[in-house]
Amino acid sequence: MVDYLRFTPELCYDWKQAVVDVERYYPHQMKRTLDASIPSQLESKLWVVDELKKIEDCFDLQPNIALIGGWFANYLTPLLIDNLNASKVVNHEIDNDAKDISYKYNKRYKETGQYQCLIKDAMMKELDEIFDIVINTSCEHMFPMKRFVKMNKQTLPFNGEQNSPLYVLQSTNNDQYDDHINCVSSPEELAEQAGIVPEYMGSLTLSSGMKRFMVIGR
Amino acid sequence: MITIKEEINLYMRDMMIENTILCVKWGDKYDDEYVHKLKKQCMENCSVPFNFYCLTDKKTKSYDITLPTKWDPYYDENRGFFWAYRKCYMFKLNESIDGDFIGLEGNKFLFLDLDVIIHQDLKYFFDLPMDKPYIVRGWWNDIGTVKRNFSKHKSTAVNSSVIRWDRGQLKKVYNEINKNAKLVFFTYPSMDNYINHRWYNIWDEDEGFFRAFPKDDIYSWYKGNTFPDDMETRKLREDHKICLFNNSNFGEGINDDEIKELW
Repeated sequence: MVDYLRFTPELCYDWKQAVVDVERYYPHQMKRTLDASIPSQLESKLWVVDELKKIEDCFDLQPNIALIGGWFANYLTPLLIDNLNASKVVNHEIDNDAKDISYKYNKRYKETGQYQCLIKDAMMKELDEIFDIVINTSCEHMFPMKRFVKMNKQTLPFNGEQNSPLYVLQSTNNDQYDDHINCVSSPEELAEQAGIVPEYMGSLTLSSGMKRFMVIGR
Repeated sequence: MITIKEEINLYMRDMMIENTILCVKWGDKYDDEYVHKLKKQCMENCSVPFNFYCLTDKKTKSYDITLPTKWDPYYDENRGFFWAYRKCYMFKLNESIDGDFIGLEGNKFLFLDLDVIIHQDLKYFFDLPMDKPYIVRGWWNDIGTVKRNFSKHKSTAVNSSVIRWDRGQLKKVYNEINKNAKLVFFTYPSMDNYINHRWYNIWDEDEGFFRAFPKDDIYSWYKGNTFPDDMETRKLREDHKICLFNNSNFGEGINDDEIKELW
């Protein structure tokens, strides 16, 4: 079971420096970095990696992983690299500050080419490369994922078959926030919204009290 | 080789008045008095010849032009209360005379919201260098708050109460909305927020598709002028060009009396 994050000296250094730099250069983002660091953020990302790890055969190939709206990617990037041996994590963000700050949290991986952040509205345009896994833990903030899934269906060059990455999607039924524009009432609804066939579906109540739904499938 | 018809079109275009002021009116929020007052202000404050049109769902006057309705099915009033999507039809005005806006002349467009007070000569807007279109950058916004709330789709830096563009310059914007209307109306809470996200760059303001009108051109009656130094509200600044009456905190129709007192 994946229930912790490896707090290595390298991670410690990057995170300390991220806090220093945010305070100095991005003071307006201080509260958001705190929001991204709360226990429930870690719980929901541990859940992603724990369930993905159970789908063992995906990860023999050091998966290339896309994050959609991955924000600072402070928890998910090290969890994916440490536990799933991800070859690369590419975060697709619309927020330039989030990009800059995510590079500070993940400086050690940026330098090795294992972490990258692109400014891209992934609902408007297809991704630039093929990914083994696509993770979106903030579906409640976005248009239903069916559009994205359809846009990013790939045709395999040799046999012409349609290939789809493995999708990991999270959302919530908590509609008290203005920016939760697309809440769902169940993991089944989340899968239906994305038009994927689920291999895993589950619910989890986080320590913050928010209920999260997750589906994994193609 | 140019055809006779094209030659006639070019000749007609040369003969037309280039400068065109547009407003948009639909529904019942604003009555005809607003259009009349806006036109009167334009006549009193524009030293160059101009065409004046109101794009509207209820055509009654000679200057009225009927708005298209093709995006109506994509608009959910319950979730997009402030989505003034009807304004975006005017972005369609392109190089050729457009089927939706037959009779609408001119090449240099200035859009004005109905609830504005004009202080200075509008010629200024028609004389701007047009390498890019212009939109209001709400200089009264704290840019830190704008950036912090960017992905939450709040605290929008851009305001669409005044837009200046040349014919054809906003076709890309129209095409994106037209192609993705369902997504756009679902995702963004307002037109201003959509433009802020897709066509403006708050991190590098010289790099966006739109250019901002400079500071001290356009200010807000309810929000102030420039953050943080000149934020007094409900103050007329007659050395500025235009005063806006934008206030997303108030409901439809509320506070309209304040502008009426200032007309």
